[in-house]
Amino acid sequence: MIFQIELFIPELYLLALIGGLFVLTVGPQSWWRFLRYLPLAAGVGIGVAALSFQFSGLMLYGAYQVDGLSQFFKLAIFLGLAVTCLNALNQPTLSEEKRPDYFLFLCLSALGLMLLSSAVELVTIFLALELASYSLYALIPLRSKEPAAAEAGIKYILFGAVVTALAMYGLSYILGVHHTTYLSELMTKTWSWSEAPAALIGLTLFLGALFYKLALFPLHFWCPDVYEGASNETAAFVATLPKLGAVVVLVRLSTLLDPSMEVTMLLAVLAAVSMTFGNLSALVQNDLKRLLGYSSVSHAGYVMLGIVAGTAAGLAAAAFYAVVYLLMNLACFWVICRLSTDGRNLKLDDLNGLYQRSPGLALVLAVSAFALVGLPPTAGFMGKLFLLNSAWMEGYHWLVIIAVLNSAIAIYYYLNLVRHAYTREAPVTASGEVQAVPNPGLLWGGLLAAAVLWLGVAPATLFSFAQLAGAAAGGVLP
Amino acid sequence: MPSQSLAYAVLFGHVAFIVVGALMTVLSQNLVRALVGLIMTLFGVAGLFFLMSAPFIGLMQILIYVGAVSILIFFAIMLTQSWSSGDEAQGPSRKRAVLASLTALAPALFLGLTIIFKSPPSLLVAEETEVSALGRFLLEPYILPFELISLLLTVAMAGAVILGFERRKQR
Repeated sequence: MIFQIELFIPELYLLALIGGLFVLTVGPQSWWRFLRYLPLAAGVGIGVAALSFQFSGLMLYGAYQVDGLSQFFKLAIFLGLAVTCLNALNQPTLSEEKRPDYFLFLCLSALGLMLLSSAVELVTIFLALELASYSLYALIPLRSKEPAAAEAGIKYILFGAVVTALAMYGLSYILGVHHTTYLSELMTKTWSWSEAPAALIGLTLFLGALFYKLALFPLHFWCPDVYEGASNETAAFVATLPKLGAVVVLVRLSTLLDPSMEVTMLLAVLAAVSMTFGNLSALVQNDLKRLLGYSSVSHAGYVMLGIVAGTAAGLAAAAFYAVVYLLMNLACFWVICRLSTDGRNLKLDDLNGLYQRSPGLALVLAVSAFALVGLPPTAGFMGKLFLLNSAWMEGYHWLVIIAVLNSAIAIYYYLNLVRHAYTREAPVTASGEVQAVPNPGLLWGGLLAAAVLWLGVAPATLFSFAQLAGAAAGGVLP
Repeated sequence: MPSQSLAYAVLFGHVAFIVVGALMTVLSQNLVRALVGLIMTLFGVAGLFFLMSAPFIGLMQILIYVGAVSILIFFAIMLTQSWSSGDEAQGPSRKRAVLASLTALAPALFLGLTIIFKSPPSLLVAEETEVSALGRFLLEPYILPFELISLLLTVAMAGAVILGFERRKQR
């Protein structure tokens, strides 16, 4: 089966959107008013992806696999894209003439991630990852009058280039030892240190590229700087969607790993270090985006719990947690973007008295902070429960204990957000009034928070899909 | 066996050529001389491809890297202004130089030793692959990556344009 158009519908839909945006970038400025329908169009994409859930198949000489896992992540990517587009519509720090280009690159990055979620061949995975990254390289410096944004962009590009080169080098080792890049064939080969050390080194280097995207411990250093330098809206995208791409590839690659292997133990150790390091660093942060940056380092560690477990339940938990992470971080960034009306970086003190200035936003922030800690009844709790459960079943008791201890550390700085929002007084203006937040966008922020709560109360609605995804990950189609 | 020692001589001749070029690239004070060193390295790598009976890849290496990329870098050097008094002109401190060379050596040694002592079984005599087989290879099992590269280049180019150019003022 070389090509089947009905398997390709979500990607084609996004490509059509990209084509439309491309026309807008070169068209007259009067057409740019159509940009405001982009979140709606991306929202329709969620439906398109949901409809294509039933399809499965292997295309393009076995390089592209459509199954439960890929469709689950495509749906999540459309969801994230819709929210980030909506969030970025009235971006204060984006110069007016670059607005269509900005959204063009957002969609291109999402396309790269979508291709990533279906790719089952290492070169395709690598190129799709690059497609997603290149678009971000162009997006991060687009913050007018802010030298820190250029610095963040340069850092992201240079570190990204080094990691990419290492991944490519690792790929050459894998190709040299096993003579194929197709996952279905690689599954049958040996990956032990004693039999094929070069292949194992190659795989580790290749995984490095994914760890860079996921911001897992040794490759996390870019994360706080880039979040801080990029505009709030761009950071909301960078912090959420690329992680989905990294998780889906790790879930696919986990078919190569089994718990007895050296590399699996290495991943477990990295997960533990990443959680601890991220949480301890986040404790002392004052800038909100840096805090969320370190928090995403620790969340990368949590997701790895499901990957190292490697069972269908563990992979389903990782997929579920990736979506939950997307929702709770988007909710948190939604509050930050609405509060920062002039696009500056927010400090913790800028949250003071949020309950007076906008009770709705304060509630959304509280829900997302509780979810990020992992307290019931939010989705963060259910996600962590599934992850811990799957790792415990596979005998990673020490890792589960470290994860739980880390959650306890994390309570301090996440609830610090809530403390600033609820117990501190708001700054008053000269006339003695409290300044309300203009345009709080409560409808969408509230929906995000409601989704986080809903998935905490009734996780089965999403988890049943995640289970399909986890089950699909185990087998590469013939 | 004379033919084998001759083969070793040719191989290590190439390796020496590559290493000298690389050192020249890194150590030279003059940008143009550094670039000549880079071109030397690229020629050496092309020679290695010829030794491995991959003349097509070797030719492509010369055509693309020596012919196009180096010229592009020459243009970039010509178009950017560089002063001899800039930050980059001062040499690195000794401590930094030692640390940097250690950092560069560590992975090279680790990877090199693994390959030397645990080398995967490989063909002793390289087989030449026909260009038509290469083409079929790219357009059949690797059609998707092949097409993705073009999309990737488009994105890279568009990204460079949006970051580097001012949009023409609309009337």
